Amino acid sequence: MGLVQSFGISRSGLQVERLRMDVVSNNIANINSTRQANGAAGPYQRQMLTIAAQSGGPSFSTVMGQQGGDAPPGGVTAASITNDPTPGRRVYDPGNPDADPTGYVIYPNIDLTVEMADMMGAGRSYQANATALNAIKNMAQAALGIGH
Amino acid sequence: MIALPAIGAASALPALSLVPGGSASALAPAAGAGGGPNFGSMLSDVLGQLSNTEKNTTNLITRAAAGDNVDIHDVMIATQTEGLAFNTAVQVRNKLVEAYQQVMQMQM
Repeated sequence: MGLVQSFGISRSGLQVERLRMDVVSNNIANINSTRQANGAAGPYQRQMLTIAAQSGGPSFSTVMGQQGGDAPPGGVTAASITNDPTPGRRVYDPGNPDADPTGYVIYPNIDLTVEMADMMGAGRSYQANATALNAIKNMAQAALGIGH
Repeated sequence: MIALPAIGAASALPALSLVPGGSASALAPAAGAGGGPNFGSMLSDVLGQLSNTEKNTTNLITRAAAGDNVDIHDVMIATQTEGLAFNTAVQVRNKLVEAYQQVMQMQM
């Protein structure tokens, strides 16, 4: 596996963690959004990122013409961004333009503590991927020092 | 007992023509007895890959500096990859030149 492919594994991790951070930032920014982006009815729904592992190509056994075997490491990819269907909290505010006929306004189902925990998790995972990348680079530099 | 120096180096350069007198211009690619890749094409291959990497990296850095939608980690990974490719090319050159010099110093 070449150096570019090895970097590609950590690079995919960095990209996914950046996307996860973007989703968390979007949730925090929309914590009081009573309307959706496309003008549909209802408040902003909390978004969740689904992360899936990625295959690095056919496994060694498959290339050799046999069944089975695990694929080489291929990093990670973002599978989808889905909405959290949990209903949001209801606040009694009849004067609000987005109030329903009973006078309640429905705010997004975003809990700030949960988002903060996700944010810290994404930040630490990003740092861990950067550390792995540095370790791969150090290995390559150690290889360049062979023979000195 | 004279130990033959750099047997491995001699086999890595099968196409090196040993011109008596040993001038630097004798490093001409010739059809080697082993039939392997010659020295000139090896070095030019390495330099070609290096220039490709460098083109991609400068393109990425320019876009990042202009404020395009480029991730910072992509720029850093590209610069590190280019640095490693450059160091590899330098090491390959060093080893090839060292092997050539050892072969040239052989007493005939």
